[in-house]
Amino acid sequence: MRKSSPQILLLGLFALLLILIIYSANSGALKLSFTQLMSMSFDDPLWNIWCNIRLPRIILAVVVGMALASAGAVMQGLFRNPLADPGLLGISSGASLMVGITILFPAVFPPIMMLYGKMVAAFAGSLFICVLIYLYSLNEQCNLAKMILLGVAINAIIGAVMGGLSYISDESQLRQLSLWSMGHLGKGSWDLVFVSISLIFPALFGVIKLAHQLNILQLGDEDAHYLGINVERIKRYLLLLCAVLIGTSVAVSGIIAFVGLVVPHMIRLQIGANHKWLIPGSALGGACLLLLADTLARTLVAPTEIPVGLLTSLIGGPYFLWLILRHK
Amino acid sequence: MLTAKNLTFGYGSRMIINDVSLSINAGEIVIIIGPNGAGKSTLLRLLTGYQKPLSGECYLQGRPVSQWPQKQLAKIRTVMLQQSQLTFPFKVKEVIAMGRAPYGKMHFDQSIHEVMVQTDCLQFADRDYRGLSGGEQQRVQLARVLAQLWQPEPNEKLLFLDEPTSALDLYHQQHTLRLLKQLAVKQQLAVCCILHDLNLAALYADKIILVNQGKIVEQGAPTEVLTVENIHRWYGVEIGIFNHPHHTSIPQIYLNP
Repeated sequence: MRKSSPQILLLGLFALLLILIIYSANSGALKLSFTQLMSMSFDDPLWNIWCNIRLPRIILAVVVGMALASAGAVMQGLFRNPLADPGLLGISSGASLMVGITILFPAVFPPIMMLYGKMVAAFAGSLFICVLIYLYSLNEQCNLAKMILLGVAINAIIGAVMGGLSYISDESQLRQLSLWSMGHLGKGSWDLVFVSISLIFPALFGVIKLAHQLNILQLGDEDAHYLGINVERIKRYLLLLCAVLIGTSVAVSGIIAFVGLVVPHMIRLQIGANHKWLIPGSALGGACLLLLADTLARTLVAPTEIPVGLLTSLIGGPYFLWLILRHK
Repeated sequence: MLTAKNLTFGYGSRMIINDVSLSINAGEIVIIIGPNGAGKSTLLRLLTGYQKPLSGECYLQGRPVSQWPQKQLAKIRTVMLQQSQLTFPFKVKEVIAMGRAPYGKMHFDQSIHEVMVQTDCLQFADRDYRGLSGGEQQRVQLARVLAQLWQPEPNEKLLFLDEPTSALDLYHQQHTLRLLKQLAVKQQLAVCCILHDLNLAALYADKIILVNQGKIVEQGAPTEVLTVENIHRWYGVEIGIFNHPHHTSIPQIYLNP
């Protein structure tokens, strides 16, 4: 049933991530290898490009990948459903709607506050949809198909509203909106890195802390209750943390689909469903996948680039299709 | 160990459980029987405290169940439900290990090993739970609840089971109920079990409670409850009863064709 021990897989993924970071730091529209860098003085503009454009972008890809994949693993555990993906259920859409509104109607704050403002808006949007879906899942007749349909409906409604927003937006807002709704990491800056790390790492730490309880929830609510778990409270915490993870990553990078679906599924095939390993494994796997996708996105068609969300959909869509067909 | 006083439960005007009082003592096996839809499973959920009664109260060791801290309660009371399905790939031993949740790492390996031996689960310890047959899954769930109650020193504990033998073969039916009986006697375990098989109930019960339409209609030793008139009256079946050839105090039932 499983092929590798969790510790070895985690180590392997960590090593892979380091290799990817080095590879990614070395490649881009501007050929810039480490040996070149080392031979230059620190005041050289190339160093500036490397430090302030490439490096933050790499870190953002890693952090957002971690958030998306671990949120996917937690949502799937929470709903006891392998297809519960933040994108499919409309949670990312909820966050994106709120961010769209802040793009169109920016409040006047100092820049760093603005960044948090966007995050808070995205968090509120994702939390709202999370709660909506959670309330719906309490319904006796709720099943997988209905939940996905609910996601389809939410995505359709928000899609329409987003359409309306782009209709009334001006030229630069429109470009911002459309680029951002396709998912991209091009605007990486150190401010954004610090803000997103300050939100994503604590949330990630929180869900890993709750992994044991999440495992026991897999037995069913009633069984978990008899094991001394405060089921409602644990579920509320997990939903809240998921909303932070998803909201922050949407605020940073727009909608990057399927990372939350594909990565946990692949990790589960390797090491089983124990969330104590699955969540960190998914986080590392998500970081690898998104960093790889983003590196390809900015090198494949250099000097321009593909929005990374399009690339992940290109990989994730067929994978999703395969999952559905196989489950029959 | 457990005393229930005047439990009542229902939705709207429909009463599911109507004024039920009973007690379960340590070292005793109490078996709840009754026709389909009699309210057995609901009664079980009221006794465990999972559902709050509209009126009445359950007392565990003299203290209302609702006032027990959940963590402490989990160490002395547990429940094996009819069905437990998993969506994701967990190994059998991982499922059983979940039973140790209230204890952390204390006596972990010893307790897990012991309950796996008791329930005959060792041979599939490393298999995916979802790939087991219904009967094997029931044995794993039994192992899990026994792991939850496992403590190095015997003390008063309470185990509820909702049809624990429904998918078991004959060998494991006997094995499971013998095990429960042995644990009840040796470890002061109080067992409260819903069963459909009346002959099985007669073999192992210290007390049988017959429930119909949310009320206790008969209760007592197997010979008192399992009579031709009672069974005919509450189940509407035509049966005969004879005494077990080797144990005269155990009634056994046969259906008339």
